[in-house]
Amino acid sequence: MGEMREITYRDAVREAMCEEMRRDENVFFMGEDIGVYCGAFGVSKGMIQEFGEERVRETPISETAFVGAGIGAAVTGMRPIVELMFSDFMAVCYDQIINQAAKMHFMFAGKVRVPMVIRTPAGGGTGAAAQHSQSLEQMYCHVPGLKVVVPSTPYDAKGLLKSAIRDNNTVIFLEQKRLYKEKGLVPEEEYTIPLGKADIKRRGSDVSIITYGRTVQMSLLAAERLAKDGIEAEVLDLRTLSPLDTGAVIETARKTKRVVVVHESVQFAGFGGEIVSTIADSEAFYYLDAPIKRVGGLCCPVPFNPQLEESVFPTPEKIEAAVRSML
Amino acid sequence: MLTKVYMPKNGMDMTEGTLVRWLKQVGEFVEAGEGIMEIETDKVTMEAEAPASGFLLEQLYAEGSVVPVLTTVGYIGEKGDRIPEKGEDSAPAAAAEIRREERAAAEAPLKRRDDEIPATPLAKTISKQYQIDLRSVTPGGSRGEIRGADVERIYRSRKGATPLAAAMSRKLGIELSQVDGTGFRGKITKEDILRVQAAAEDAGCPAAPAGSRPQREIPLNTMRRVISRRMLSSHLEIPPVTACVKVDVTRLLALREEVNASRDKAERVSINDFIIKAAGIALLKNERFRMSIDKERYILRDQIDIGVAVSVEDGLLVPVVRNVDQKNLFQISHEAKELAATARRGALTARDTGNACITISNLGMYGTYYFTPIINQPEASIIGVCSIEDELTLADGQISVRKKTILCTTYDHRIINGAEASGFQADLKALLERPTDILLAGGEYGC
Repeated sequence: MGEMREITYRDAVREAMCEEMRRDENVFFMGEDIGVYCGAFGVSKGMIQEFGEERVRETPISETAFVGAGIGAAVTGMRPIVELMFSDFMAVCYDQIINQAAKMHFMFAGKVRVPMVIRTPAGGGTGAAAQHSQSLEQMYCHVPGLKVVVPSTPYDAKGLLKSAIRDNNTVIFLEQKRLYKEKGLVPEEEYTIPLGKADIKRRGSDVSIITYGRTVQMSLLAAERLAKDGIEAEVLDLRTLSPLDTGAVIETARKTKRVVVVHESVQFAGFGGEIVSTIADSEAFYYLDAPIKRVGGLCCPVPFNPQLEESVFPTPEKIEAAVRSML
Repeated sequence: MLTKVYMPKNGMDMTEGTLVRWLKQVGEFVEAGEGIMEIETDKVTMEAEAPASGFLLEQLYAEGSVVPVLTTVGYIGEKGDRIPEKGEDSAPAAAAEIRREERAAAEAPLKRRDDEIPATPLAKTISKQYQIDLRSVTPGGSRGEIRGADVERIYRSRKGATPLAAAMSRKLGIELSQVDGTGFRGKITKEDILRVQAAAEDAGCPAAPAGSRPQREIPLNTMRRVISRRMLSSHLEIPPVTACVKVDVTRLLALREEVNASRDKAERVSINDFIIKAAGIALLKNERFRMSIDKERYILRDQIDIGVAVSVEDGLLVPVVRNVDQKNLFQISHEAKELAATARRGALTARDTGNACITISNLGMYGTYYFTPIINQPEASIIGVCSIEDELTLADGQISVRKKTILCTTYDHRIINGAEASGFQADLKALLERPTDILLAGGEYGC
């Protein structure tokens, strides 16, 4: 790879959008306060100046209306990027996403496609309380017809978003609001990352930490601490939850024989269950040397109080303890 | 008061010990400091002392068991003291202390029914592979379950391998039962594993790292095992040199054609037959090629016997043409054909193989241009015959097309030096380039 520079997760997302909008005039951007205000997290800074009001469209506060408009535009051949200010608000336009965007291609016998990306910040850690801190990815993974992406680094965010925009399916692109200001190395030149491919963020032989999103960094921290005691953890970042890279999941489990699944979203009925089932239902089962552990969010609404909020989510300490309990 | 008898930890690197023999039986009285059991580490055999005076109330492990250090192996106390249930106190003491802090209260010992053996899937999988009865395995898991490492420990102790060697064998996919141990009391060491791996790589099949692609295990048949052992030993013991000489076989081919013109197809003479005969003549003159080495002395043989490598189904055999110097080309050709056919039928007897001066391995029919054959011990050399190719040759200012082949002779440098080898090769080359000499030399002429 050529020249690399350090940019934030937020900049990476914007670069992906701008590059794709320059590349394909059918790509346009729509959402609340994304113009002069640059979005609630400043992601779309400068975009309205470059692309104008036609292609960076400010919408009224009605998720149902503008997601529905995105679906309509997509059906006519456009490639809309629709931003929802918080992923929690997807509950408002649930019908548009679940019953329309995900279904149209199939119900119209393949005659239409909905190549739309719904970009939206998810997750907690910002003191934004119960209605602005959820991780609801597992709900969209359960709907055939949607792809679900959760990038953990600036590099992944840019490469995956470009692939998502070019994808002919509706992609739910869940950005991690807590990571927006995190920096990482991103190449100068153009690149994409295919959807549906997991990434080994750290190689190890003693235990596999399978995770995605904000908990990838936590898992890497935990792995560093474990390494001081000679415990080598492999950290597998799923990157795309649907379609899931089952091969990578099974392979790492088969290799290290011990698995901890980590995600910020509520552990109960969470996506971790799918990962665990994938392993249990594979050849890797015969090589497990300890029960599979999950480290997920507690089963309660995310508290507003910062101390309480911290206690609800996974931490490097919790991940480390889970690993140690199985060795 | 109940006192636990531990497997002692003698030295930093001791992780487990074998309980060789109980020196006290259950119910016997033992003084503190008196020998209570004999244990063996990977270094020494020693007596372990009783930690307290009292009656030996229970022996938790049978003689011969391999037990992690600091594991309770028995109890000393007053008659009538209650012995804790098995599993209540099976985790190694030192490890348990560390674990206790880290483990949640939920991690209580597994409740097991009479006939159940809690074991992880890995432990079950490898116990099947190693044919180890799980009932004979000491659980090392914090909840009393058998883990992969516990089964590995038994396997190691049964086969006698160091933990490093056992781990390496698993990683490299080398079956421990196929490894000869050279360590203390035949224990398999890291070096033994490396040696077997190197041999596997020499044979052209690097041990595949365990991965997700399924790999198959194909056991060596007896012939392959013998070949494998002999090739490795030759490779490790002999300092080999391979020298090549190019031979013009234009006249040889013409002569062969002439000779074969009047013969039945089944009786036709091959190039290899000429080479056998020529080698026989060259061996008479070059005695170092008839020697073998036995520590401090050379053994010189006068009987000119030549082995001919024959590829057979799933292996290789080397039948021997005897007394080559006393036989003419047609006799040799006939015998070589018979021997090869017998070899392919799998009907060679002990008389038909072994005790040759030299072996000839011909890969010419496969188009091999050059190779380095490995010496068939205890012989001093082996001749590799390559394919015959057309070559433009400049002689007396004239360009002509000649038939050429390369003979690659590998020789044992402990027996033969470079000049001696060149002498032998020059003789061989001269004979093959003036092939009528081959027909005229020695033997009873006629046929």
